[in-house]
Amino acid sequence: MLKKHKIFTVWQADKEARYMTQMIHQGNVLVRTTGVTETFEATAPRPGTVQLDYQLDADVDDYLAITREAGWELLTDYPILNGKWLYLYHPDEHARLYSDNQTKIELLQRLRNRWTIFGLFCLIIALAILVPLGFVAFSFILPLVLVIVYVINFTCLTRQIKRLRSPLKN
Amino acid sequence: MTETAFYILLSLLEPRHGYGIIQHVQAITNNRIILGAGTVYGTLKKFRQADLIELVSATESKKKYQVTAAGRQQLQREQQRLQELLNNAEVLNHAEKA
Repeated sequence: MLKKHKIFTVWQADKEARYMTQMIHQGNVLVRTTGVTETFEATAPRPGTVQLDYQLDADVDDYLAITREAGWELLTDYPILNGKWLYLYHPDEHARLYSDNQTKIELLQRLRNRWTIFGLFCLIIALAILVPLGFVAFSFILPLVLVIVYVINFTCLTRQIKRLRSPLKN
Repeated sequence: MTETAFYILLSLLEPRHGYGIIQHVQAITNNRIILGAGTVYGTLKKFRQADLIELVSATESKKKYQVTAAGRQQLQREQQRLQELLNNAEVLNHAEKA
């Protein structure tokens, strides 16, 4: 068992997928993730691709039925915000979960909306707790960090959406 | 309507499940279009919300969908648009002959 510690961020899902693909090519298959700790099992090096997708809990079973038939294998999932990040492996390196720009854009828009609303919710809760305390020394740091993280998330996902919308990409 | 969305809706003139759509579109486009599972699932969900398709049968692991009357109308409008595109592109043939 190999354990790696790193923070997975929503706007870097494609980078995470490329990393998982490299790992499986080297014979390390992901078996569990908690968002900060990824556990790999040693196996024979496998060709192919690992891709990430996010689906709501209500959609996961129906979606996985299609992916299974299309040759994808679910390595593991990571539950968050009434949905799951799905780590899917396909032995064909050219296989894609999203074969056109429009549906990829729609996925990124869903991720952006969901995480931005969650960020705002966290900010409101943080302020609701801190304001009555009179913003004691350094207590502004938590809301500030939340704002920075979710603004970066929003900006990066918007940039990815714009890139996909570029006429040169269509 | 994108090419992908058109082909998915067109596939559902007959009842089909998700992977059946992928196979059908691959066959009628001579392997040019291989739809991704995420693309198919997201589009089916959108079509259901817009009442362009309906669920016609469901087992534990497979759900079959088919176009509704509204979906068929949408396909016909798209066919007219594509026909107009093709007619207007005829100018290319005339330009080559001249």
